[in-house]
Amino acid sequence: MGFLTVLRKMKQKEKEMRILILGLDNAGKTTILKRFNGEEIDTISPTLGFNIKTLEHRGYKLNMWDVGGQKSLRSYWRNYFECTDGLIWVVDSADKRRLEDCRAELHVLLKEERLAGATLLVFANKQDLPGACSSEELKDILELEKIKTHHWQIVWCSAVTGQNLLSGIDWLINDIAARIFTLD
Amino acid sequence: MDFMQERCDKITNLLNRRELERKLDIEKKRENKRQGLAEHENIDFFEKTFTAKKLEIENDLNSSLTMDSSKLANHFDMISKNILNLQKYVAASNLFLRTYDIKVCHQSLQELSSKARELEEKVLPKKKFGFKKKTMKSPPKHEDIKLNGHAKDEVDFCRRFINLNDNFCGYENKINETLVLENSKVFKKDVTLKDLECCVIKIYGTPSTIHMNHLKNCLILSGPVSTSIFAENCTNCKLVIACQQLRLHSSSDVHIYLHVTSRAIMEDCKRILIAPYNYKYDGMEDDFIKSGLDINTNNWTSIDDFNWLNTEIQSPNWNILKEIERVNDWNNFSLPSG
Repeated sequence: MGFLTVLRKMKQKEKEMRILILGLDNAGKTTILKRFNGEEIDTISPTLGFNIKTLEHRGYKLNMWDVGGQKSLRSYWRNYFECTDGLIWVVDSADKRRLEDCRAELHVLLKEERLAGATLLVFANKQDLPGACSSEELKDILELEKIKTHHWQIVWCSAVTGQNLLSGIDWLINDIAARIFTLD
Repeated sequence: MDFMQERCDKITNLLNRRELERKLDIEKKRENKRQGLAEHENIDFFEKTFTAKKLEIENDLNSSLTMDSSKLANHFDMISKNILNLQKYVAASNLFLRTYDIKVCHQSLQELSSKARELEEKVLPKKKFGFKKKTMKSPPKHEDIKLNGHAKDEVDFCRRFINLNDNFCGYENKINETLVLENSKVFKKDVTLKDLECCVIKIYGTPSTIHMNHLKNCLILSGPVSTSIFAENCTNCKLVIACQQLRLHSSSDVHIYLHVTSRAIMEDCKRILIAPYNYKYDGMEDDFIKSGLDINTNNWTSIDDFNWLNTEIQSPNWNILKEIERVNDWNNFSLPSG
């Protein structure tokens, strides 16, 4: 039994997944996390460092890491890459001016070796705002089709109303589960 | 001596009796707890609770059809919270459930949430859509769709509609102007202020968010913003703003009259002076209620500077604006020329 098999077996027993939530600042990462966990969202402050939440969903234990997106924090993102099963990239679909910035950061991130194999879910957030880009448009703008190294999916959502959050997370969990829990 | 001995025995007896009573009591409590736990951890109990909760959510969903439209947003919010809670309950109970039960529960949960989504799309069409429709003078379209009875088509139509209209709300590339955005124009919108110089912008009402970029010598007066304000590259400006979060980047010489209900952050900023929000206009209290901001919670001094992580020494990049230097009457205020 190799080391990876042991790791896999251990995770299988716990049904545990490590999920990293990243994106530019003001994208709504913390709001997504809190909304998903059923907490109040109108008292959220900009994230100074990071938030960790462990939550149960569909029998899985999800370790969610939400790291602040400010420019000065982005260089610390790499400290969180180890053992990541899933990556949630959150986009403010209404902030068109920074979409280019958003695209660049995402593609830099995906080159990271320690994230290889992680499933990527792109949340096109803030769809409750008028003028928000659709997930189809974002797929082009963010050049998602170019991604060949990760399983990916883009899902529109609104963290404020909670719409579509669940279907996004469910896709992510299914994809991760198919990868790490069914192999033996 | 005997007297002493007697007294000693008496006390020992008393203590022993108490000890016994205490132990019995603990045992009794433990027993109760065990019974309680077992009661909650069996399938019958779970099924009963689950069905009851499910019924409750279904009733809520049905009542949304006859509800006052102003309450609908909160109502759906509550429903989705309830669904989420139920989901958590299933997740917590899956230890003692059969695989089949879990499957059935998930199925009904999925049905509930899709039903909620459908209903919400049906009875609570996106606000901007309704507003646009009026200005475009095309009410018949809505009727057509209703006749077809395809709730989904309506949504698809709505989305395409938005993408065609860029829905830009705000101002860009202006010099030396005084501009006013009225209530109906900004309600729940993303307001953009970009490349402005020597302008006075007044925003009444409750935008969802404001983006400011490259403002120079400007005065921005705004009603309460329900989520965040994002400002970048502002120099020599006065911002009179109320919001849930403020994020200020790469700006300098800005005076902010701030009402913030959570916290504000700044990054790469210099010479920022902060004062409490003091803009007053008719209907402001109502706007605060509409925006969901608490008018009595103002953390205007809670500012985190990303370039100054020392909590003991005040950041050199911002300070509190002295009271005598504050502007108190914005209606009679004019920008210093030059």
